[in-house]
Amino acid sequence: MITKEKEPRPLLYRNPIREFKGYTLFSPLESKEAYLIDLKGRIAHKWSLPLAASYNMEILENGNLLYMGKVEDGPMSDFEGCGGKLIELDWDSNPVWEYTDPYMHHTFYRRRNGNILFAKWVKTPDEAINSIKGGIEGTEKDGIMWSDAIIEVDKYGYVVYQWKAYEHLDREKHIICPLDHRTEWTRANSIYEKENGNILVNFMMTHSAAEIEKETGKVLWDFTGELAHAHSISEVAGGNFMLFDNGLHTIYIGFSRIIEVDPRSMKIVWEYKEDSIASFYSSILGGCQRLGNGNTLICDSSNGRIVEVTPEKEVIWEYVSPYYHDHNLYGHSNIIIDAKRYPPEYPAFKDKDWLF
Amino acid sequence: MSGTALTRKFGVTKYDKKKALNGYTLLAPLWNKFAWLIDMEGNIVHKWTFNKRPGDFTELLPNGNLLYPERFPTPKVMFLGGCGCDLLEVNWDNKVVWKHIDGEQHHIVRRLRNGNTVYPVVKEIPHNLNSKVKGGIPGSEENGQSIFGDNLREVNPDGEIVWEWVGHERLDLDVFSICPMEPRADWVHTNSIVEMPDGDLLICCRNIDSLIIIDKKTGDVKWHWGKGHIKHAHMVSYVGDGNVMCYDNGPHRENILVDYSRVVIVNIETKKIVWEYVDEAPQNHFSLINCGAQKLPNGNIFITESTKGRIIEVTPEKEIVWEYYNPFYNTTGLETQPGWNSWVHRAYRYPVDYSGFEGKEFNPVDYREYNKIYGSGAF
Repeated sequence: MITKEKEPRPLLYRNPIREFKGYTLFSPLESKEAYLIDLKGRIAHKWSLPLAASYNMEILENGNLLYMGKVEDGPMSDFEGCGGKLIELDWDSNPVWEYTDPYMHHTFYRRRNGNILFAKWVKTPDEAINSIKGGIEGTEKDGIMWSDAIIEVDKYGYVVYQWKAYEHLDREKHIICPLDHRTEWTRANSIYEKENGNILVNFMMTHSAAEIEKETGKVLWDFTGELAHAHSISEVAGGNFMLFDNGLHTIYIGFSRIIEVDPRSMKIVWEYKEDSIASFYSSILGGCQRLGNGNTLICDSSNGRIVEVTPEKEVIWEYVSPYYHDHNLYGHSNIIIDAKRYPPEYPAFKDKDWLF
Repeated sequence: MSGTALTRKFGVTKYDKKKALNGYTLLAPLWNKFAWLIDMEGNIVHKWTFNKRPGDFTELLPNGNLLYPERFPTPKVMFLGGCGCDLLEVNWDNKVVWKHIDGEQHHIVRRLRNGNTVYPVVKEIPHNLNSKVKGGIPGSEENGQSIFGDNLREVNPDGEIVWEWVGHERLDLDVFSICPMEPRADWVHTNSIVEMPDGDLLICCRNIDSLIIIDKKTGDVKWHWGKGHIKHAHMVSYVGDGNVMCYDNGPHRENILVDYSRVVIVNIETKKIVWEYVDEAPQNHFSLINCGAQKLPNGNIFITESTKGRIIEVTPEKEIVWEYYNPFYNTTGLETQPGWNSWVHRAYRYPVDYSGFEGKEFNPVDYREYNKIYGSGAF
């Protein structure tokens, strides 16, 4: 249940000269609602969801909403990030398409041709488990170590592509965080299809990311050594990739940052962190989106905050969600999962009914 | 709530006059050369100025003097935050009344009831023990070969060492292992010492995640608790009724993928947690370093959330009755602690009738040029 609490005003700051014009989509954690707000923070449209969203959501060009729903009684329902059902709703929240796989989790990416890539948990073969490093020894729950597969399904529900981490990922490079159990190896919480058709994947538990050559399944590069339980990978202009680096389980001050990396040099070419460093810290979730005017939209999930920053790292739009809810782990909070900005000319918005 | 929204909060943001302990708060913003006493409205009523940056500790003694270590520019062990070397006691007017130099001192300085002073000293352990020290990041010994533990050193007012407890001779290496995410160079990392009613010493050891009671007469480890419960804690204290309290910072919790801090009170005899303070949204209260928890005479708990510059007073029912955001920002110049920050190591609240205030006058008017900038109504 969401309660709207009294906040002075949810929109804390805006600079109409620099903001990327459009609507922002977000969903409070575990709620069955998704909101589309304008730049003043007014709700212009909302969807009622049959299931809460597990992570990212997307508005399609026809105005439908696509997201991964969290099934409540599946075999993986007590795993963090569990999904289980891809759901498409029309503008009026009527379900128009769905695809079920109880082992899907976190993230999906909708391809231009309408097919959908998503991550799912598969059991790692016993012989592979022994060569996977890191984590706390002997903590595979029921002796199982789950690892990731990337699946592509078409609109008819046929699986047309499959990639398995244990067949391709270098076990010397993808090592489980020393503080975590060995119940999962990688946890692909974010996937993104590049312009050239390759797939970017962020692996949360191994503090790593990779680019996969789709046809061969080959891993073209691994990005390691910088991340700490990161989220939200995407390709940005110029062929770089960008991530929300949460900063959980580091030695020093916990802080989050957005990093943009050039895969040709593996160097960080742009980084956003707050000047008062520990104040921007989301140990959970988190998202980032590069906008058409070069700004970056940041979903500071843990703090219920969406921020837009310029390339010069100036905050020019800031919204704090006034929607509070209760969670068994995260208490009474206004956590939001993911945020996306869409311009008014996006075809999805043509001839639609709005709340005002 | 944190992030840019948080950094717009300054001064007193909550004050329940009936429930909060009326008194003055000692505030020493980290890495700055001063400490303030502020009143309940956030006005500065007294100021001390230091010649060098203090280490991670400043306390107002019952005699009204301020006790703190003054940092050397290059500490003995570079990786150990809180390393300070000159121990100073200054009076109300900033005059040094006692000084003791010890290049190995780090973190806390504790004045004992007998007038002596005890503090941790960083000590390299014999290399033949290295392989017996468990945990930590493999291969992260300093220069590939050094592991540092702690001794506790007691000096009399003349600076003579009268007691020394040697950590590596007393701590069972099978029990006191290092957190998997910490460097092996930093084995024990004692950051807090208090004197128990019977004269034993209660210490808090950050990297081995343990609160330990040491029998002063024999040097034996009499009691310990923490592993599996607390992570990288600070400011242990004895709160009466056979209970001890600490601020459980909480980073690096095993298999927990969210960071949150809490204050816990644990019973010595049963080793059970009898009281706990967590924010209603646990992840909204977190500080990886420093922090404090102080039990006040009215039963409330005074908590410092260091890296947010946030200080709160909570009732046993966990209601926040006073909240303050340190308005003073500065930069540390340290790569591991970047940015412009309002961090506070730990703040103390002293009631208006505290013995240290006897004969002292408080007049915010004396600091009105500061209070227009930092005090009540400035933000």
